[in-house]
Amino acid sequence: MRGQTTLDFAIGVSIFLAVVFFTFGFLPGVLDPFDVAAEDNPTMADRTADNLAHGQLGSPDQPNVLDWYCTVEYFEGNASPANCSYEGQTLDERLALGVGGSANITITRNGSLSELLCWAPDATSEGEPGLETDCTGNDVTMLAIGDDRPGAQDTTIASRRVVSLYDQTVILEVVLW
Amino acid sequence: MVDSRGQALSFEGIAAGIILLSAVGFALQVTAVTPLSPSTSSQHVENQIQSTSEGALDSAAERGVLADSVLYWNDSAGAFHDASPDVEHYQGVPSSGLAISDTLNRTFADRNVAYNLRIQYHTDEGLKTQQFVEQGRPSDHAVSASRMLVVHESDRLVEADGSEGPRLGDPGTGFFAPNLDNESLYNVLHVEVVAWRI
Repeated sequence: MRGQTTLDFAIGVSIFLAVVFFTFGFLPGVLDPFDVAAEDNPTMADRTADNLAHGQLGSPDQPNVLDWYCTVEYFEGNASPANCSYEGQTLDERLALGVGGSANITITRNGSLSELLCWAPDATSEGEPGLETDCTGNDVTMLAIGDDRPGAQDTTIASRRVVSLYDQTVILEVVLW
Repeated sequence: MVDSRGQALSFEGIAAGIILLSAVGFALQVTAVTPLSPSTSSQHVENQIQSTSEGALDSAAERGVLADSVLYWNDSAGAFHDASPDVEHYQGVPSSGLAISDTLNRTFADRNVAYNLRIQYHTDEGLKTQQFVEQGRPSDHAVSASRMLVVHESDRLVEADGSEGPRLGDPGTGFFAPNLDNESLYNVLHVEVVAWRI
């Protein structure tokens, strides 16, 4: 009998080890929902959206109301106009995201990209400027700027604001990754 | 069986396994992880709802539809136009004739957010509340945003079809808020949105 593993011992230890491995394999998954991939990104997206809606595109004394001229110039991507409250020419300079940060900013009618708005100099039948979703004409400005959004497998943080632009309620969305 | 001492038996292995599993089960019970559990990400969602609520009110006020909406009052029936029977306010999704209805639906309804709207007004006895839109009882995660709105005696009620109704200051015009009799000022309203995830 000496030097042999008894059957009883083998069964007991294997059951115990199986449970231990299952437990340690399973526990990290329990904590997953609390884990945000990029810890500071929610705050950053929030601040960026607030900064746009209350400062750069609007004014602090009338928050969430965007100035249409400054907004269109912002998305045009040209040098910043003198009477708007943002500086710099590229999105990185305006948002100061830091190294490795990417951003995408859109203005849509209801939050989905299929309803992306653009600024057209002749949106109405009378040739008045305005916002429209049918962005086919010449010299329209798409109200979207930044890098292309990554696919669904990458973690992004979105922040949206309901704002008033040219007497319409629209949704400003900032996506950071 | 000289050397059977000090050996683990299968019974002991099973007992140890049960103890480990019950420890895990207990840990899961005390931290019920649901999509609504507090975490950095759900705090972010609440911030979003809060900011969009403020934005919806600001945007509606800027375009003048906030005033048109609170004045969407049927003075002969003493209720909002097309309000739910038996109550003066809207239950569920408000009437499409309401000016602010489109803004609210676009902001909240598409994103699985329920909201209540109420209006506080001043009386001689202090603040009183008029329900406006009621979609249920807010959850523990509800956020609120409010905005002040001044109505004057020269403001007109809005008829069901959107046309101009009688002036607030005219004698005989019924409104939920009383006239404060302060020169041309009629009353100061506080419009409050309470929104929560469903």
